[in-house]
Parts: sequence; structure tokens; C-alpha cells
Amino acid sequence: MLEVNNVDLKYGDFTAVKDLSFTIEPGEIFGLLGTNGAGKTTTFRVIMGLLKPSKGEVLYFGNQVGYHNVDEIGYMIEERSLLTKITVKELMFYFGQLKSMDKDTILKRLDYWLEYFDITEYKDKKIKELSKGNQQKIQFITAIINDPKLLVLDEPFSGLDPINTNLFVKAVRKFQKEGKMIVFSSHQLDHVESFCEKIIVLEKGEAIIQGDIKQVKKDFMKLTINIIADVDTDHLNTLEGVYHVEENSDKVIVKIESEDYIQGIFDYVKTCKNVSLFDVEQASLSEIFIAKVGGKRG
Amino acid sequence: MDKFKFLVKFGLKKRIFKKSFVIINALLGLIIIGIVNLPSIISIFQGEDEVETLQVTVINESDDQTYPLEANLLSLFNDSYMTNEYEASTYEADTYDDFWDQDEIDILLVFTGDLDAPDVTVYAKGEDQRNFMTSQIQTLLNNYQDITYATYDIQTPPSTGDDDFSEENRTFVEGIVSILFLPMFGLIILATQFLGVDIIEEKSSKAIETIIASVPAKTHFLSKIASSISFLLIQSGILLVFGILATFLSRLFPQTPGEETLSMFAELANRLPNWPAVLTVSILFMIFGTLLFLILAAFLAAISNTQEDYQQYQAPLMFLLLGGYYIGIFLPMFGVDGVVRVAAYIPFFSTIVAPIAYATGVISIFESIIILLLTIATAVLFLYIIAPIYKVAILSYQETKFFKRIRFYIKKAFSKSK
Repeated sequence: MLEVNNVDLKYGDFTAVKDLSFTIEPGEIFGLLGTNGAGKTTTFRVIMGLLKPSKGEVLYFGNQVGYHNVDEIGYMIEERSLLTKITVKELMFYFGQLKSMDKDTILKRLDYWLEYFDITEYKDKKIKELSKGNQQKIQFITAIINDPKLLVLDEPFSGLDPINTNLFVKAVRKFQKEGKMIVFSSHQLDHVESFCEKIIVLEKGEAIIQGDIKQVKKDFMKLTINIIADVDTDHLNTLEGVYHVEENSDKVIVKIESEDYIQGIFDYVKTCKNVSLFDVEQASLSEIFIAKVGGKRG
Repeated sequence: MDKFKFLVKFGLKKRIFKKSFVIINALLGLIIIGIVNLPSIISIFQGEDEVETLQVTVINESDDQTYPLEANLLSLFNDSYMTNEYEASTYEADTYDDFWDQDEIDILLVFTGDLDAPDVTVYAKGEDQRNFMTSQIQTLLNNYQDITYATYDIQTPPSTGDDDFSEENRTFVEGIVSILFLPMFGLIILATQFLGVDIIEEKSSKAIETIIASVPAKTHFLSKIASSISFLLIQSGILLVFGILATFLSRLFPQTPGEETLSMFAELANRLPNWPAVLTVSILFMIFGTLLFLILAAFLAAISNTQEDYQQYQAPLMFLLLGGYYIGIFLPMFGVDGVVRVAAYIPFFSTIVAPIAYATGVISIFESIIILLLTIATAVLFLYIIAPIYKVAILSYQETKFFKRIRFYIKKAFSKSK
């Protein structure tokens, strides 16, 4: 289990992370969200022990994170962080041996993952000869080559096409099934929504949303109603609880403050002609994110 | 496997198992062999045109004054396999011991006693000539009357008063010092460049974050320095082997008695009787002096963000090294020993100036040891100060100006440790 307990990180007068606390259990995927500069990368650096918190602690299975247990952790940073003048194999030997692995194991795992990502032909190629997407795959392999118990991924999907994103997602799922802990950040909220159990949204180093993703959505209250019918949008706007109406080419999207107002809207739609859809759904993570972060900034 | 050892090994392999390393060393080998044997190579191409005429005086004070000793000896000399020509000449100095102070006569032979078994005093300027004389005199005596033996008193040039280091030898060493210390100068530049480029390559590619997530920054810092020092030692060893090989090859060149010793190293060893101490002092200064440069290079690389930054920041370091080299090779020639002595005590300059000052007799072995200890103490102090700054700077990408950046890292490094 990974425990982040009341962590503060200050640079002089500037607070990069403020009173951050969360836990990740084995087999759990944890999403760290936030706008640029919200403190996600700083939080990862604190988890990795690269930055010492001004207050609080990070415990990995009850022990402080440090160089004695770092071999069990995999870390992928946001930017490309590869030595470009050496080959893929040499790079894996380098990073693998820094995780105290022997060459045979490194080679075995490298072959497996190259096969998985369908890039076996690049094993003896220099990193600089690879495309950006393939470099990203290699960087992902460097993070998982030691079969880590805790996988820390900073923006792992950025710049990937949908097919490769799917491969990454499947790989992360595989680690989850094996009981590994995964913490990652992403700007692509649909990914976070699709496979995170728990999230934390940071804004200016502070957690503004935190907890189980289903509960977060439930707590947000606001709902979206999709309608296909001959409705008068001006009239919809006047109904109680409606705060936004949007007309698309095929449907009308109505945003309401809470589930208490569904019945009133339903009563109106029943009076309209050609009704073929009345669908109520929870707000998306993206909506929650914009509402909370925008609200905080506003 | 110990991560420190692994990092040292990795850094070393990265430099040594490269085509460029093999090619450069092959070229260096050829250059060293060429330079050391240059006189021999030139003499091969000069062939017979390079015949030297040596002036010989034979003084017969033996019991047989009728025997044409000088004529017969010169005939023997000129019929021998030697490429030189021998010519009779008159010795005009007052005493035989004045032979060493005059330039007209190259060989003086004085025969006394019974010519059947004479006492022969041999004065010759070259050691090969002295050996050649005894063999030729023996042939002459065998022709004179059966087999008889002479007693030889072979004279050698007198000492100039300073037994260890004559003025002539010092001039020779001063002349040759720029060539001898050039490889050392080059090696330090190479090691410093390698270290800086290695660190900045990892930092600018952001790979450093993954690396520092696996090993402490201090281990990374020390491993880079250790692998550069190891590289320096390996490269020095290779150069030394080339030197020995070159000296060995010089013996294979056809040499005739009477020729001066052709190997530069052999000549240097003759003129520098304390060469083992000079070599030891030079190696020690190379290791610990380079350590000082490497620590500073690691610091400069850590505060840089790009290769361009590092190339710019390391310029003062190169000036320090270049300054030391020029002080070391030029000032002893101008006789400003006081300045050389002072420069030898200044860390960074001492790396090259101190061994040169010791080789040219400006400082004693005792002073060399004190300077070495001073250099080591400075290196330890630098390690102590720079390691925490390195830890902070290596993961940071400040874009401020040079001094502001340094101030920021120093403040951050030492406020954190409080």
C-alpha cells in the first residue's frame, strides 16, 4: 500500500503541494488530475523520493520511500527521457541494472514487451532512430522492466494514437490484475474515467476533488438530459433547475442542477411531438473538472 | 551488483568500447612511435650523406716510439664498419683533462708503458665511441705482437658540480617538457570534456530523472568522476605502453657505434637521473589535479540545461588548464623560477605546473608532496561543497543567468540541509 500523509512541499514562500493525503491499495489505479502547474509532477517527485516534503510523509508498505525500496517502483516521466545515442537493448540494460536486475531477466522481459508492442525489430536500433510514438513505448518499457509493485506514470498517453493508447491501457490493466498499484496523471479525462477507481484533482497544489470516482460523480449532483423531440429550447431555458440548454444537429442537451428537476422537464417533454429520446446521465469527469477548477479559478 | 560500480563500469564502457577510441589510440600509437624514433627514421633516409668526420689525436708515450701508432689506428678506424670518418688532428690543450672543455678534438688516446701491453687512457665524447676505441686498439695490439692486452683508463665527462641536475640537462628538460606534458594536458581536457558531456547528455535528455529515481544524486556524481579518472588511467597506461613499445622499436633500428642514443626516452632518462620520482609525481598530480577539474566540470554540467550551456560554462575551466600548461612550459625557460614556484602552489595550476617545476628542479620533492597534499585537500573541500549543489541542480532546469543560477542552487542546497 502507498500512503501519502499530509504532504506539504514549499519552495521558499511558494507552496507547490498543500496538505495532500491519499492512499493506493494493491490492484488499484489512482488518477491524479489537474491543470498545468497544479502540482501533479511535483507530487510524483515526492512519491519517488526525488523531493523531500516540507511536511508529512510518503509510506510504501509502511516504510518511508527511499533508495532501499526504489527497485520495486517503476517511474515514467512526462517528457521523453531516453538516452538517444544508445540502442534500445543498451538502454534497457542501463535502466534495468540501475534497478538491480540481471541481464538475462532484462533481456527476457524486454523481448516480451517488444513483442507486446509489436516493435521487436527496434531492439538493436538507436533510440534516436525511432519515431516519437515508439520512443514513448520504449520509455514505458523502461518503467515496467523491473515488474514494479508500484507504477508511477506521468501523462503516459500524451501524444499516442488511439491504437497505441489502447495497448498502453491494456498493459496498465494487466498490472492492475496482477495486484500492482498504479498512479498516473493524464489530461485525457476519458481515460481516467474509464479505468480509475479513485481520483484526486489538484489545483494550485491543493486537492479540490478527491475520492472514489463514482462517488465524486454522485456528489457533483448536476445531471445532463439528452432529448430528441420537437421541443422549444427557449421554453426549456425557463424551466426550474435548468442552467444550460444546447441544441445539436440531432438532439437537445439540457443541463440541470440536480435530480430533483428531472420530473418537471419530463412533464414538459411529454407535451411535445415526435419524442424518441429522454435520457438522463451523470455529469462527465470533464464537466466536473471544468466546473470545479473553473469555479476555483473564478 | 553495486549500483556505483555499475555506473562506473557503464561510463567507462561507453568511452572505451567505441570505434573512435580505437582509431584515436591507433593514431596516437603511430605518432608516439614516430616522434620517439624520429632521429632514427631521418638517419635511415639520410643514408650515406650523413658521414661525420671525427678528429682524433693519438699520443704515443710508450716504450716504442718508432711504431706508427696513430697512422695504423686511423687506418683501422676508417676500415671498420663505422659510417664516420676519422682524421688525425693535433691536440693543443695544456692538459689531457682539458679535453672536455675544447671542441676541436673528438677522440684523444694516450698510450703509456710497454706497447706490448700498454696503459691506454681513452677520452671520447660519445659512449659508443669509447667502446669502439677499446675494440679497435685490441685489434691493433693483436697485429702488433701476438695476443697482448692493454689496460684501459676510460675517461668520462666531469660532473658540473650539481650531481642531480646540470644546467645543460635542465635546458634539455625545459625544451622537451612541452612535448612530454602535452599528452597529460590533452588527457585532462579529454577526461573533463567526457565527464561534462556525459552528465549534460543525461540531463538535457531528461533521462537523469529516471536515473536519480534509482540511484542517489551523490552516487551518480561520484560514479561519473570515478569513471573519468579510470578512463584517464587506462588512457595513460595505453600511452605508456606506446612509449615503451616506441623505445623498444628504436633498438631495432640499425645503429652503429659512435651514434648518439636515438631514443628520446633513453636520452631523457640519461639527463634526468630522478626520472622515476618525476614520473610518480606527474602521475599523482595527474590523478588528483584532474579530480579537481572533474569536480568542477561535474558542477558546471549539473547547472547547465543544454550542451550549449555547458560548452559556454566550461570555458573558464579550460583557461585554468591552459594557463597552467603555458606557465609550466614557458616560464621555466625564461628563468622566472619564483613565479613558477608560486604557480605550483595554486590549485588547478598545480596540476601541470608542479610536476614541470619538479622535473626542471624549481621545487624539491618535499615541496611537491606539500603541493600534492594541498591539491588533495582542495579536491576534498570541493567535493564537500559541490555534492549537495549537484544534488539540487541536476534535477532542476533554471533558465536564469549564470551567477544568479549558481546563487539559487547554492541557497537551495544549503538551506535544505539545515
